[in-house]
Amino acid sequence: MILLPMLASLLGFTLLCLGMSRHQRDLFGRAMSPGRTVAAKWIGWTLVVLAYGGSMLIEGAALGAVYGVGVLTFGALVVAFTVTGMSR
Amino acid sequence: MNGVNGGLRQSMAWLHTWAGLLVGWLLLAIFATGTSAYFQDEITRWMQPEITGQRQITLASERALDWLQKNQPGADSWSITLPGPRAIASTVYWKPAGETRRSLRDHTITLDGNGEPVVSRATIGGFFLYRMHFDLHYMPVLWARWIVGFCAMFMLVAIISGVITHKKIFADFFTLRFGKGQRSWLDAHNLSAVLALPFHAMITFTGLVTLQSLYMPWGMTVAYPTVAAYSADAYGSEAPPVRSGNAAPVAPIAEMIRQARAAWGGAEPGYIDIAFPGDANGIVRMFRGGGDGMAARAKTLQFDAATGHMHPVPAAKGAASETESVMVGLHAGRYAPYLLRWLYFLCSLAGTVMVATGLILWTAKRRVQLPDPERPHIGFRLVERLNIASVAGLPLAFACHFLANRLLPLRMDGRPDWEVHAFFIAWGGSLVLACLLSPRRGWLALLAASTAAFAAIPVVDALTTDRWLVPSLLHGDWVFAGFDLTMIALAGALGFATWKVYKRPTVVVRRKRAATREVSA
Amino acid sequence: MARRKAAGIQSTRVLEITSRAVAAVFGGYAMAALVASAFARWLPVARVEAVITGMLSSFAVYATVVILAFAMRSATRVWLWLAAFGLPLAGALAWSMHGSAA
Repeated sequence: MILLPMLASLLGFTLLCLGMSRHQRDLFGRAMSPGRTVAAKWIGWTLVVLAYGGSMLIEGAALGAVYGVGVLTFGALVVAFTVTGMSR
Repeated sequence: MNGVNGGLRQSMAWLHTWAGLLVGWLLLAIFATGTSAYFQDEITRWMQPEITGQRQITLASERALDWLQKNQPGADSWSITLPGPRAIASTVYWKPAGETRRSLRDHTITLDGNGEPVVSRATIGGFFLYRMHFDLHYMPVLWARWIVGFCAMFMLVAIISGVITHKKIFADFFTLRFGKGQRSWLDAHNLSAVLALPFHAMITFTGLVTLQSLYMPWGMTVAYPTVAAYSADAYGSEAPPVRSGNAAPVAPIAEMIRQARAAWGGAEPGYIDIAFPGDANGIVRMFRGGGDGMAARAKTLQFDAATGHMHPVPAAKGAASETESVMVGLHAGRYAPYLLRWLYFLCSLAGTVMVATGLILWTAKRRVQLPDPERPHIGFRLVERLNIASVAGLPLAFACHFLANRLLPLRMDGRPDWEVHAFFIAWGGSLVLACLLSPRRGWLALLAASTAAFAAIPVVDALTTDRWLVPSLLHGDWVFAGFDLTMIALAGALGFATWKVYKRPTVVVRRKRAATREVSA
Repeated sequence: MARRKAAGIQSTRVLEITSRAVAAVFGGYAMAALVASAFARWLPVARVEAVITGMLSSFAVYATVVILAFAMRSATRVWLWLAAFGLPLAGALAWSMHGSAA
């Protein structure tokens, strides 16, 4: 069940990463259109918030707050390492 | 605002560097042992491959009591540490009648689920690594806790100053550039620090809170006449029992456990002690085990030993007490189920990487500032050698500790102590090697040795036990399989590091007022 | 010559850093202890609650003092602020304890 927030965290951070010009250049070789960049940032943030909120809904307030931190850390680390590996 | 080193950011950078450097090597050990402590029960099980079986609290309690009744009937007190959710053996302690000094270590035995003494190699298991996290070793516990607390305070300051000084905290959020020397180490340090920042801040603060009565007793001394008065208010207490001299066997424990479970909303007891068992005035105390509920200090329940009658449940705690209890619970993470436990482990590992990359970053940055790279000043050389001994030597120490468990003779005097000595002999040897070899050779030698040592663990497992990787996978024995797989993963990571150091081009450093010269890193 | 000058740091700087460090490590602890005691003594909640609140807050106080000790413009300022907050607090606590002892 907690896999859903984990997935949301992964997707959210991927989009947030894509919304940054530095990583767009690394991954695509060029910048994305400004519209797409803004969209990526909005959706990315929404997913990250949903990932945290979802953890609290699924596991209860106290336990969920802790799960949320772990889920976000996991997502951020995976995205960071993937981006690093892909841009080399 | 101008601080110690210029503007606010520069001053905080200065503070961050010094706070981190002065305690960095010890913090590395504290983080590493803390990381392993999240799996201390699994480590203990791996270190006692002779013990098999399932965990059943009520049965284990009954059988433990049977053993105690048969073997230690007249004792002043019995204590049973029940198997937690992740362990299977019980440990019983007894205090013989009339003995005044509590030397629990002499009066203890481990029992399996059937109440039979465990025939297993003598070992302290994962408990050593857990205790080293805050009690260090070879020194009085009080000194160690003060030293660790000091480091924790420096860590807290390092976190705050690090956040203040980090310029592009969002722009650099996912950035990890390889092969750029100092910039790469900074990226790695920032990444491991920022991505797990909530964990690092929480773990450092809650770590201090866990020992706050030691570090900050002043509120207590100002408000209460005696420590006992404070403890009574904080933890609740009844008058200690007195032996009546009238014999009365202990009432069935299963019924008391049933009542405890009901009072705790389903949670199991983790620890039972009985004062004056077999006496009419005997008192049974039950402490809740980890695994349910975040608050570390749950309500302790008391029963009359002879009748099984439960005493009134202590009143609910106030907000501050509850907060403190939750904070301690958050730090130890005993409540965490397996997925959350692995997330704790991941974050804690990130913290260890954060400290290690920070230490290496210091030398990487200073190296290019050296007036003469061939002859660094003593401070630089000291930091460089200590870095090698800790960052590459600590993994070796862990691996040697685990190898010692498998390789030391099964019947050996002081076996548990020698498993621990193996840890420190390896670490001390790393320091010696780091001082004798050139830095590059030192890194290569110790990283290669750590890789080999971790890789050897599954092999030695196969050679000395029948619970090695393949049978464990086939039987679904995830504790043993998981341990060996983790060792392989660590060997892989260290092997990767060794390879990177080996392939690293010699660093070209421009010397002041001189032509370019090649220096090996 | 340039190397010798770069190698030695001025003694005034060492003094300043030492002063800040002492203020941070010892002054910070003293301040934390004072705040913990003040909470314990004067917070209008149950006694054990007040004591625990004091202990919990003390670490935040300590960290803050350390940060400020290196962020403020001079070591002298750090000591002045420590005295400005610490002495009245210490005095009030001492008076409150003696008053109740009598």
